[in-house]
Order: sequence, then C-alpha cells, then structure tokens
Amino acid sequence: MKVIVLAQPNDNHTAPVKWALEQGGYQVACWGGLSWIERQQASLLLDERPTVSLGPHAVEPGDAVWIRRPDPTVVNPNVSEADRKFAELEYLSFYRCIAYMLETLPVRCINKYSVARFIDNKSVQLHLARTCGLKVPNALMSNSPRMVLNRFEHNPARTICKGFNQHVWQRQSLGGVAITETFELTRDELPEDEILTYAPSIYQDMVVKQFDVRTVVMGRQVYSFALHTPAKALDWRGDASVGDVAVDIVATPPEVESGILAFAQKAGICFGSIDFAVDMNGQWWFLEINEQGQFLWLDQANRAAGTLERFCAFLTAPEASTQPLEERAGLFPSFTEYEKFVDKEPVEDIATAAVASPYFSQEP
Amino acid sequence: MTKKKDNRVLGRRGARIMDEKETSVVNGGLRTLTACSFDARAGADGDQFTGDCISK
Repeated sequence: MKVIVLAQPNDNHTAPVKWALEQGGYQVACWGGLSWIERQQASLLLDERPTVSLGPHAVEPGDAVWIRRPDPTVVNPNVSEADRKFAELEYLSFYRCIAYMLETLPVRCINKYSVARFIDNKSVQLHLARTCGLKVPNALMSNSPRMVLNRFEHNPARTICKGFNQHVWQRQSLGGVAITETFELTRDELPEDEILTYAPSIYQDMVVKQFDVRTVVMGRQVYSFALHTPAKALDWRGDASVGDVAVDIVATPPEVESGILAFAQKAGICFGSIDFAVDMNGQWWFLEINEQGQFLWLDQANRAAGTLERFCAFLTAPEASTQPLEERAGLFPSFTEYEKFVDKEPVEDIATAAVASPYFSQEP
Repeated sequence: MTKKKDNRVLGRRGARIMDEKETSVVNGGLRTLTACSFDARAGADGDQFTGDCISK
C-alpha cells in the first residue's frame, strides 16, 4: 500500500508526515489538486475495473488517501475569456467526480469527501454533538436583526459571536492584519440592524472557562490536550499562533470520549480536531470540529504529545483496526527529529501569497 | 469590540488586530512550520478546510 496525500508536498502538515512515513518505510505520493499543469492533471477510467490517476500516481486497492489540503482547481490561463466560466465549472465538477469516486474504490479515505463536506457545517456539528450526549452551548445562527435582538433580550447568558469561516483583512494604511476570532458581544454593542444583515453570524452562550482543550481523533483513539494562554483568552488561536500557549496532555473524561466516538460514527469521520471549553465545574463543552484541523503544533508545544508518530501509525493501519496506535507509533520518528532534519520555511509575503484566497481581503 | 458607526461586518469589528511584527512571526507557520491560526497560503485559519475546492 501507499499513502496518497491530496496536498502540495510543502504543506505544513504534509511535509513532516511524508518524511516520517518514508522514514518508516512507506511510500508516499502527493497530488496538489486538480490543475491544468501536467503533475496535477487527473484521469478517471470507467470500465470493468475503474481506475483513478492523480498526476503520475495511480490509485490502487489498499491505498490510504489523506484528503489534506488540495489546491483550488486551476484552469489553463490560455483558455478563451469567452470559455473561462465554462472551463472553471467543468474543472470543479471533474474535481468532485474524482473526490467522490475515491469513496467507491477499495481505498481508505481520511476523511471521505462526502463526510468532509457534511461535517464542515457548524449547524450539523453542534446538533450531532448534542445528540451524541456532548454538552453544547445554545446558539443562534442568523442574519435576522429581529431574531438577534430577541436573543439578547430574552437570554441572560453572556454571548460570544463568531463567523462561519475564518477571514483575514490586510490593513493597507495602518499595517498588519485583522483576523476573525471569537469575541464577546453585549446588547449595548450591537450595531445598527442593517449591519447584522451584511453577514450572517453565530451567537452562542459563552462558556466561562478554566481552560480550552484540543482533542484529536484518530479512528477509535482520542487524544486530548489542555491549552492555557497567558490572559485566558476567549479564543486561544491568536496566542497559539505566536507560540504563547501551554499544552498539557490530559485524560478525556470517559463520558466525553464515548460522546466523541459516537459523534465520529454518526458523522462518518475517522479523523478530526475538536475544540472544547472546560468550565469552572470541570464540564467539557463542545465548540467545534475541523475535520482536517492542524495538530502538529501540539508536538511543537509539548514534546511528549507524539501526534506525528500516532498519525503515521493511523494512516498506515488497516481500516477499522482496533490495535492501539501506540503499538506501531515507534516505527516513525517524532516531530522533534523532523525539525532537526528540515530547514525553516522562508516567510512568504502575505499579500502575494494569499491574494487569490477566498479567505483573504485587503482594506484601505 | 468597537461600536463604530461604519458599514463593516460584525466579524471584522470583532477581529483581532495583528501588527506587522506579529504577522511576520505567524506568517510562515506556527513558529516553524505548522500554522495554527494563519497560513499565508490559505490566507486564513490553517485549521479550517472546507472539504471543497473552490475554483480560482
């Protein structure tokens, strides 16, 4: 078997995982997503024995396909402007044909594309988590000023506000960037009604917390890490991104673990990163899941976290294996060893690198 | 959150401001390689991947 990664080889998780898998004796193939250039072309041959080719790589029975971060589809820039929209839709449809087709083949997908698209929805996440016995803060998702105002007038709980997606604005005159994050919102801070219709938002009961937890699910294995930021930030990501977070390995309470596993089964995921807030009574509250969430930063912040070795063991395990990942994790080197091996990546210019991203804007 | 009378979306009003120094630390990865909250290539949260490919 080989491991096929749908991402560019220099993706920040693909590079270390590829290196560690190869050190463990496994073959790894990266495919960056569908594009007109040769190494990112693809073909589906549909006959008695369907085959999928991703660039130079054939998808073969027994392979593991990690759908990590394929690039957006890219059409040939020489296509006539009159045909561009047609070509873009054809590329997108073909990519989806490939991604869904993988699920029908005798390969293991991490995660299945249909599942990834399903569980990406925050409404689905919160509802499924609750039905699986996890504690979930009440939330309103809306673009209706009347409903938002009504929530504030009839709900005594403190409220946080967050978006459905992350976004970055480059501040051209003031410098630096503005990055979306969860923030507390009071009734007095509500803007004019019309502003609430500019973009829908999520309004959720605030969990007054002791600390945050990042839980990584790999098959039937659940690994939890307590996150402590210096000022007990409402959203720990900002501090974590500059290294200001302490990561401690913590045991997952049994009732939470069983809820997580039930959630994973109901959602159909085999891998994901879940965020919890732990309140003053020690109760774990489900906040969200990212089915391809980042995890190797945990190894950077706590050298005993061992998520790289475990993830490699998970990727190369037979589907539905119940063998503890720890029994095979020793086949693979740690993130610390990877850091010794690799040079630090050069810093990219934000505007140049991300201007085409749907998650990036420039403001005056 | 600031309560300015402007026409910006709520998410931008509550956004975290990172100066150029912080950005230079974050941009390029979480200290070394593993961006947690900002990835220059993705332009946003490195955690979040929509599971879909939006055509450029």
